[in-house]
Amino acid sequence: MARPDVSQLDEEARLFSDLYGPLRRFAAVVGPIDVDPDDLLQEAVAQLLRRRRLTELDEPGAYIRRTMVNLAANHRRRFARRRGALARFGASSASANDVYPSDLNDLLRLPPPERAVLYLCEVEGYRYAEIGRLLGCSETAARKRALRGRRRLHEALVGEVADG
Amino acid sequence: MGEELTRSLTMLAERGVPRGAAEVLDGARRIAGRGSVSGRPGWRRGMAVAFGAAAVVLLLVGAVILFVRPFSAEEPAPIVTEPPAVTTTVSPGTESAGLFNDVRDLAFAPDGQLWAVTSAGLVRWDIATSTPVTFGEQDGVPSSNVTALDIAPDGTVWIAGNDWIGRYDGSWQVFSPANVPELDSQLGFDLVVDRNGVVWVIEGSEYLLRFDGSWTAVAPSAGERIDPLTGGEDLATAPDGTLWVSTTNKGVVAFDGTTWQRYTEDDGAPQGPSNVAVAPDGSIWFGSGRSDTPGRGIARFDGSTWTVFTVDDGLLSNGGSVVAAPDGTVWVVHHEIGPKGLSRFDGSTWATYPDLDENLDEGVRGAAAGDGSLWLSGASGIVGFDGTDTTLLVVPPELAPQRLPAITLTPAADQVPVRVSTIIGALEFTTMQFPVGHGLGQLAGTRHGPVAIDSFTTLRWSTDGVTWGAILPTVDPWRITTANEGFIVHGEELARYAWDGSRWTGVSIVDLPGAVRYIALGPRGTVAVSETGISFSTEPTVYYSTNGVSFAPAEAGPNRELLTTDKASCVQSGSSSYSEPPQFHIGPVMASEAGFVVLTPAHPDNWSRTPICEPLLWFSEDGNRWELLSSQSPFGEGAIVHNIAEHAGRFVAIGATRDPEGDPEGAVWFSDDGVYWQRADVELESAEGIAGGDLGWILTGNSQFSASEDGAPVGMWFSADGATWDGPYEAPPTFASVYFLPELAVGTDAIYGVGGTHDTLVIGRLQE
Repeated sequence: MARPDVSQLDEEARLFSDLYGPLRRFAAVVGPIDVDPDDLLQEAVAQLLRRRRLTELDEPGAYIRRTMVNLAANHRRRFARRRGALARFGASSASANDVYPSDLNDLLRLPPPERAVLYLCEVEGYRYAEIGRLLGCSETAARKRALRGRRRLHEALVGEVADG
Repeated sequence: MGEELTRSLTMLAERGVPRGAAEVLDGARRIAGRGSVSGRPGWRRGMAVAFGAAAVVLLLVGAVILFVRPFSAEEPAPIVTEPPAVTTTVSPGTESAGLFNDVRDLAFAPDGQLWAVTSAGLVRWDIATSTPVTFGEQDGVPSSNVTALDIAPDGTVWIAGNDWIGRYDGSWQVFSPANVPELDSQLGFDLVVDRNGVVWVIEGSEYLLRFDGSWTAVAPSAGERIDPLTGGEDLATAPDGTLWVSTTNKGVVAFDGTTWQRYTEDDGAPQGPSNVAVAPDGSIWFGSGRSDTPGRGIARFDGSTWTVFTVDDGLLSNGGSVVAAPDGTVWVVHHEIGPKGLSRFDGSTWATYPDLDENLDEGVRGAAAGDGSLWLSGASGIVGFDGTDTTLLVVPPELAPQRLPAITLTPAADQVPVRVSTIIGALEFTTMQFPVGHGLGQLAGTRHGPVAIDSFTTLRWSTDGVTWGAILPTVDPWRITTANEGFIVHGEELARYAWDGSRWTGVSIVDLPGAVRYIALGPRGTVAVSETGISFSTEPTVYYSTNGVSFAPAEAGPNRELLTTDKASCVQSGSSSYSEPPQFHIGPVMASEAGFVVLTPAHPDNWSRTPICEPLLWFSEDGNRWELLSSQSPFGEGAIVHNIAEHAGRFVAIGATRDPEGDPEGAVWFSDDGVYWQRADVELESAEGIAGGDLGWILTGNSQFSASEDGAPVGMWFSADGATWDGPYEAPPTFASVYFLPELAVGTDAIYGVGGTHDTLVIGRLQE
């Protein structure tokens, strides 16, 4: 891959600027609570840029979303030294680990793929077929993940009520 | 729960203070080493420094590092997709076991035959005889990736893919962006044919396409620009030609050919109908996909009045999808919220059918036959239900592919093969790159090659570590545990895989409550630790089995009440646990000739899965009755255990303890029964990864090598027996990881390690 020229970089920047808002919100939903959404998004974009340019993909948004879900899902085994690494990459050192209401904490206990499907369905308004395409799974799998996520939340809420 | 869920998700999406697109992109470019920031990225600089230092050290210890291939940052990693490598699974009691019944849409033709589309083509059934006829690409189907289907009144079949539409009346006519420029959406869409043969297609959120001999794009006029199609979920046409669109969260929209009309909750319409169907009398029915709250339910619109049916009217649940039958019957399929099952409306009352065939469990698309029977796409094919009997139509094998594409790794662009000589032989490590979008998570080694769970929870296997075939799982794979000559995949279900000489064959063994986090097979049976609840965070339960098929909860399992030690101040070293509510933890579990051993933290409030703080040992001869062996941890006061690996009856644990000065230091222990542990003589800062196999053992962690700039482990140790270790050797660069521990596996002639952000695989092959 040849080093991109200025116009290509500008085009890439414009494209990313268009994608940034939805992708950052998606990162905030699927990412671990102690990881800044911008850091997760940045790492996903970096992974893409190591191998392709943003403008080379037909659906860069879908690719980045999938990457973020993968990163988030695997993040459970992160290093304790990750924060230092992020700081070295110039990421914010401010803690993203704010205090959130209990219902958000319930959401955060869902695996990232389930959170991703629920968010894309409930908030972004995508159909399951579209969600499958965005996340690299079948429509059936997207439905199953949503079903499973809702079921787990339901169990949690029922449990809370039962526990008083 | 629907509104609350939407609100909570929205709040979550808005957390933090956005840094801005420019800063994020610039940071990504710096990490990737591309774009506006010149020079090598930080982690590569770090690795280069570490590599240089390590070369000197390796020379001193007699190791050889070969720089075989120069680094070329400009060279793209090629993407290669090989022909499918195949294996199948077997699930007792299910005729279509192992088939990938991805039925995406179905519809009845006027002659009563049932048509369905799958991920591999088109199939037509004669319901009376259950005889299928299949149509694939060889028969002219435009693409194997079909997503939508409907049948015109004259029997013409219409199907659609991602950016094409096919029409079949004995021969195929295909519409694509080449001849219909408006078909440019890359998103999936729904397709419906009205009783006049007019075809409607929803294209993304911008417009509809209408075909009545030619294609016309139909978009809301400027004055009605209220994004009526956003979230368009489903289409149906009424007898008067009105097109109805259900949206995900913006009510329903009607288009009579001239005027757009949106109905919202204020009108009595459902806010987020799951789908729409039209009954023969012209009434419009809407499913409910998101609310169990009183007052929400299945909606009917008769042209002037909205009526909402709920459990108070006799429905099994307020949530569900609707299917309208030609005889006037309306079915509701409850599969997402509340009790599962069916409700049937005969025009005046509702009948309910709970606890139906499990094949109906995941039905996502439905169609009704002329006799009123309901047909649903299910996990095992298409399931029909007439109110009494259930019929299963198994998708023919040619349209239920047992194949998923294999993925082939290519040498990483920046790889530097590393050769080391150890007590288990000379190993040459090379770094391989996964195709874009792929990567592996869990990894395990067998005598027949590595197996893994990939990013999309597909179970994969390889004989050489380069080409990875897919194993269609009968389970939701979560973790892999090697056992005997094969392996067990566990998660929400369990399946045991054995090698039949050329491929892996799996058998579902049991469906335990919750998710199985740990499992071990031994001469005395099988023990599994299962956890239930959100994120599997509730109290774990120990199950045992003498035959590996039927499990029972342990009569006297490890009990937190027996733990009387004070909360320990544990060593902080290596990878950390993630935050969860403090609860009792059980596991890992080990099986030996004598029985079973599990670990628990010494104090319940020291709950974490990894590392386990000051582990205590519980023993059971049969898996049923457990006893606490001692209130003292064999690993020492405040010690932690990250992981335990097993091979050929030997267990090796890695973790950390304190040195005589009280400072943390990595530690390795080994045992032949899980009860008596010895400390191995390995000096390391922290231990991160451990795996054993026929070739030997590998340990990764931090050593006297300087940590790379991103804090990744840089040391490897090798052992023939798990007790005596040789090292450290500098790990290949791609073991370096910003976030993750390397997943390690050992086979008969190679060592495998997933590194980076799980998109690379380091293979250390035994050299002659």
